[in-house]
Amino acid sequence: MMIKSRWVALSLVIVLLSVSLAGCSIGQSSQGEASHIVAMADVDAMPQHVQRAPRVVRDAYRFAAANPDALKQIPCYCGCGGMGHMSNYHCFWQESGQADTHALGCGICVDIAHDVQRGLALDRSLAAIRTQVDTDYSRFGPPTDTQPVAELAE
Amino acid sequence: MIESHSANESIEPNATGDLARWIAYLMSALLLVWAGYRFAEQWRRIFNLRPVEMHLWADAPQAGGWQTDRQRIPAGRPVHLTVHGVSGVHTFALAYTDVRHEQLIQPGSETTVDFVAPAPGRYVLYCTTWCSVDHWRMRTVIDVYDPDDADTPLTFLQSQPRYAVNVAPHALDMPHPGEVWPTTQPDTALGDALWAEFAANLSLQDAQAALDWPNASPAAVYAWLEAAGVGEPLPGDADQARWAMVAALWQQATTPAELAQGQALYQQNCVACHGEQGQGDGFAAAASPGYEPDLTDQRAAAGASPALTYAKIARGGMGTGMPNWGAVLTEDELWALAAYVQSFVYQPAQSVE
Repeated sequence: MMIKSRWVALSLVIVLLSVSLAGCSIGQSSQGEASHIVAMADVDAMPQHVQRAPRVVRDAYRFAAANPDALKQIPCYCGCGGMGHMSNYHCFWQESGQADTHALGCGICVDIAHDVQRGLALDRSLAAIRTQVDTDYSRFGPPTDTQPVAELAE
Repeated sequence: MIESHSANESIEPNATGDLARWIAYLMSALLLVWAGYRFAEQWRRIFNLRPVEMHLWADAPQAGGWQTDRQRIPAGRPVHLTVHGVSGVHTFALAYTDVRHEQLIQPGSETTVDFVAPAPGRYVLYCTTWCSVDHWRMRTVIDVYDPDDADTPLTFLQSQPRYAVNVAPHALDMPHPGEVWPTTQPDTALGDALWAEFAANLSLQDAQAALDWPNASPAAVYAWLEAAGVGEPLPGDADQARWAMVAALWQQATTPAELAQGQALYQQNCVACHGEQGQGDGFAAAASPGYEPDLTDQRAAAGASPALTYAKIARGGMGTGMPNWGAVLTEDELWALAAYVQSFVYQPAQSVE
């Protein structure tokens, strides 16, 4: 009698445990959303014309301002290499720290910045993010002459 | 005696008996874990048929544009999308799929859209109603991942190199005046007649091969016709006759169906800035950061190959406010648009009559 009830209890616990484990893995795979918090500069620190821009543009400027080291290692494919840009960062901010108005009128610049932001949020390496940017945007035109990736210091 | 004997026995084999029992427990436990896991897998299959709940908020671009509660959905799963109107009036489509929502999303409204998540890849969800001067910023990316391989990086569905249309680096942003250009609108009907009469032995395919279509500009085609002496002696004004042949060649390279498709796309996506007739006088032109070129300008058109026009539309204007249409339109749609844009200067024969 004792043994029987112990058996039942044990098997119940095991079945529940394994089902809930499997259930957990299902829950995880259907989520997979970005979890890592990525730094963003304050909206108030943005120049007026950036503050007035659509939110996707505003957010790209804020992300670029807070993550220059990452974005300077990502090329831009909008064609701005022809006007001297060295990376996607320079579509948003000049070396002097002045905001560049270029990205206010650029779709590709903003899209690339958001892709980098999402990649960092998903904890992807900068090299992997750059490979993805190359794959996704090289169909539009030539890249900027951007330095190779050296991973960011933690 | 009997009692003590049994007591003795119960002490002796107890150690090995316990061990055997625990091994049996362990084996059974492992078996049960395995069975439980298999059961859960089946359960997961049933579970997968249930739709993924997803919410989409349609806000004016200024206030936030599209907002979603999830940026990733599993491929092949039904999606039950609830669309909430917040501000502005919008419709949307998911690029490269049949997922379209044509009913206007009004502020305060709530509608639902059901669709099946497409193959793994990155998809742009974009506004298809001109909602404001920042309409073109109404884009967001939905990642559709493989449920059995959720960690593989995703790429945009059509990532083949569009730039392979052989346009020189930075040519997209340079002025491209033709070395020669027509002074009046070329007469496509006359061109058709000349091709039929004087150059019947030259098929369109031959001409296209000789001209490296679609990389040749109209000016280059004109120069080729002149150098080869095609159709000569040409009747009347030889210059006009030759431009008529160029225009006819451009029209022969497209079809009425393709032009109609291009026109519909132009009306939906381009007219706000570029204007009804392509003269750069759309009602939103003043608000865009760049300038709208006059697409009816014969000299500029004479220097633009179909490939250049295609590549410009696909990539958009660098910093000019023209979006990269390659992210949302298919290759066929881009070629249709290019053909339609070029019909501003080389009109189909019936509209010239």
